[in-house]
Amino acid sequence: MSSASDLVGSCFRVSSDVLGLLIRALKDDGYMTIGPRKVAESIQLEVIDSVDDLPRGWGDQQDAGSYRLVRRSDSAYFGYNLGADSWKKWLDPRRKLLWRAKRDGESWEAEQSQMQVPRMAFIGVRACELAAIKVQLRVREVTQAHSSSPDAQSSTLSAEPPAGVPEEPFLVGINCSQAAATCFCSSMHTGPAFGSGCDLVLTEVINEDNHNFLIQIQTKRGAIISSKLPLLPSIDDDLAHIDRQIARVSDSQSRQLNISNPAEFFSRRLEHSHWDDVATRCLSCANCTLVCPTCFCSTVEDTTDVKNAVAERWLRWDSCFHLDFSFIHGGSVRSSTRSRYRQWLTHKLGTWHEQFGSSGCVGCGRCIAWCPVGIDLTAEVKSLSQPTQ
Amino acid sequence: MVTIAKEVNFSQAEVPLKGTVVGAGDGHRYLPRAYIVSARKREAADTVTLTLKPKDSITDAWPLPEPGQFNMLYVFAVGEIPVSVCGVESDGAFRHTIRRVGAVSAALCDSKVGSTVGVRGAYGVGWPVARMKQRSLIILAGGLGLAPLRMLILQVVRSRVDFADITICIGARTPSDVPFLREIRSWQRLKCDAGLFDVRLIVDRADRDWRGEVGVVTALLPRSLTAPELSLAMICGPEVMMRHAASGLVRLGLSRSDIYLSLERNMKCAFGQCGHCQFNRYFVCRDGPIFSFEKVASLLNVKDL
Amino acid sequence: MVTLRTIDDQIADHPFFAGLGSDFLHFIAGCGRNRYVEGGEYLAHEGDDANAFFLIRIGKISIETNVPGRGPVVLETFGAGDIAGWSWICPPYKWAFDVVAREAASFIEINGLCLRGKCEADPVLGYAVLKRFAGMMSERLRDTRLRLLDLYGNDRKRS
Repeated sequence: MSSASDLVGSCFRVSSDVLGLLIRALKDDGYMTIGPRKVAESIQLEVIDSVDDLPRGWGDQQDAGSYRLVRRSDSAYFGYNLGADSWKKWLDPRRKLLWRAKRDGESWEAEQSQMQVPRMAFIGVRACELAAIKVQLRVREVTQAHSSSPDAQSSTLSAEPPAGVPEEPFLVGINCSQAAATCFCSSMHTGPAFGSGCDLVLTEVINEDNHNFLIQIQTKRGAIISSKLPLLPSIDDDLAHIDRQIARVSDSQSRQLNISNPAEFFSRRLEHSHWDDVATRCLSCANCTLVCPTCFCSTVEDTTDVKNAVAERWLRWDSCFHLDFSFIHGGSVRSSTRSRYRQWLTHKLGTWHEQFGSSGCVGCGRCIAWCPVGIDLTAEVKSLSQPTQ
Repeated sequence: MVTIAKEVNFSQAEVPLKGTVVGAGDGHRYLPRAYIVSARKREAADTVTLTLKPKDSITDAWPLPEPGQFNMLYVFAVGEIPVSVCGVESDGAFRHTIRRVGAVSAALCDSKVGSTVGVRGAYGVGWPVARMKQRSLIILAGGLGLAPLRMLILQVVRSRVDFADITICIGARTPSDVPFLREIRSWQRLKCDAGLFDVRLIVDRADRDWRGEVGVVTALLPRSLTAPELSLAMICGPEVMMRHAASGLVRLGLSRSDIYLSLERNMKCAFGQCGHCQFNRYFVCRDGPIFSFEKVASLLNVKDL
Repeated sequence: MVTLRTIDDQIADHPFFAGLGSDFLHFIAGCGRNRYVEGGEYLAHEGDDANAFFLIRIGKISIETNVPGRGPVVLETFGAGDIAGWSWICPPYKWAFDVVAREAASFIEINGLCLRGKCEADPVLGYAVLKRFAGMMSERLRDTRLRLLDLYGNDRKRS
């Protein structure tokens, strides 16, 4: 019997019902299993209890400003591409309590909140989503490294991260079987093939006669969980099948983003006439930032109870499209839609490189689908490549 | 041999995903410490200087800030704003000069002696003190821009012999709006044997009793410099004023990398995470607020950046 | 301690006149005379004929105007090395504001009437002089516009 570490790097076949056993095994191991669910008319990432909660047989059709769930002719579990939300809502909750202070006459003291973070397993992570998680991790890493108050980290007050830093979530990746019209991970080099980071990578193989999964084990942790499943050896063609699928999905992508020197590209076009054009269409509704898996802007809310005796500070997601995002005394620095759209795009695709060493965009295409007026950033970049008017 | 799907070309492909879960991770970085208002002084109709002492100097005191850095000041249940540190006392007390422009600043201006103010800091890149030795200094302050420069000026005034010529230009709206007027007068009375030491004060609008200079603060800049390469300039004030002052200094022969400005943007976290203070590629809270003109000159001319 | 220098030297050295050629510089110096005033003395009155401009050597002068109910209001001050006064260049050749010594001042007063005649007769020279004064006016206007922005003011009241 081979040990778990021997299994790392191997590929196995399982029948499709084993997916349910995988979810069960993760739950039994104490993981909160989170995966795709059909909620109203879209796919959302929610807690799932069993394989029955998955959107079996559902696919999606996406294009600029358009998203529809469609019934597939087969009963694939992962036949959709991406919903509006992303894993960041589980990794970085939309709203969280930072601290609470109780007042006693003139004096008060703030106490850090101790948030319980469950062990989580993400079922059905796409390659672009893994890339997005890594982008957010890099943002965090750079911010920590720059911390201006190193003493804050080691103070004697109750100002330390809670004991037992939550472990990184268990990631079950799924190779995409098709690309949505909005996908452009290929040109962003974030997919369709996976980089390292998942514990398991699944590939759904479904045809008239069979419904199987290929499981590629990538970590020891993944191997341990997999060893509880009825694994079958993979056949010779399986890996080639995966490669063929990846190539097919990659070639089918109609959208591309290719900027050879992104930081410079945008820094030379800050007054390009095309920003005026986008501004006539953009509603500054912030949808793109809400669905984007890498956007990290946040704000704080200071609240109090009715008696003004207990104050709290909450952290909440924010968007650079909000009018008061850049408010200083006298007014907002970016008071026009034009300036806010420019900020978002030049940051995501340009200055992000200077700040964090990679693009902020992973090519998931959500912003294109969920923009109510169908603004497509790949098209906007092409327009910006033209000379300014 | 097992073929795993091709490694993507992605910089952090090798990084294990430790710490991805943000969860409760950042609460401690937002935690203010309780400081007590030990003194308050009204500088002008809408401007107050508060002296803040740590409630317990052993456990509560933040490290002393550098000239040009800022703290985040919090008023219970009202909110938090960034305020430059304008002075530091030996017992760890901080001085902050605040102008009443919003809910939090108004609450700070109204804070009574003995009340509690939340402090966290110090944040930001301060004035380039390390570059100043043996150089000629031109310090230009417009309005409340004098507050972030005050600590620097005090250091310079204390050890005048370490520098060549020192020119300090201070502008204010009217005579009753001049911050730290008494202190400015004391600086004007100082002598210096080493080189030129000139402290000039000018107002936009005079009142009846004003016997001093009237005009825009940039008019106080020297008309020419014999050795501009020896000079280092530090400017703080409204952004429009700083833009013109910096251009004027470039015309005088200073290199852009020898001119420093203090910028201001909306700040929520003060440590480069919330994204609010971004000025193109820079996080003003973390890469600034002090920037060399070389870094920001082209950006300052872009509207609504 | 100020060394006594001739008017020729001071005109020749002043950056404002740079590039005008020694003959013309000598001519301008010839139109100039040294003057000294006590603090509070008027160098010019608003509305009077403007036939001079001033190159300040020591002391401070101000341009002022009298506002009913407020008295004399100082608009701007000038000190050593500054040049003040351009009303002599264009019609109606009248001083726009009062020019007053804030404290005892020593300065060179240059006869604008004489200089105006020379400029009318020699347009090349006239243009060179006008260009310099236009540059000074443009700088003063820029500075005045910056003050007009009232940037130091309480921005909450700004619309």
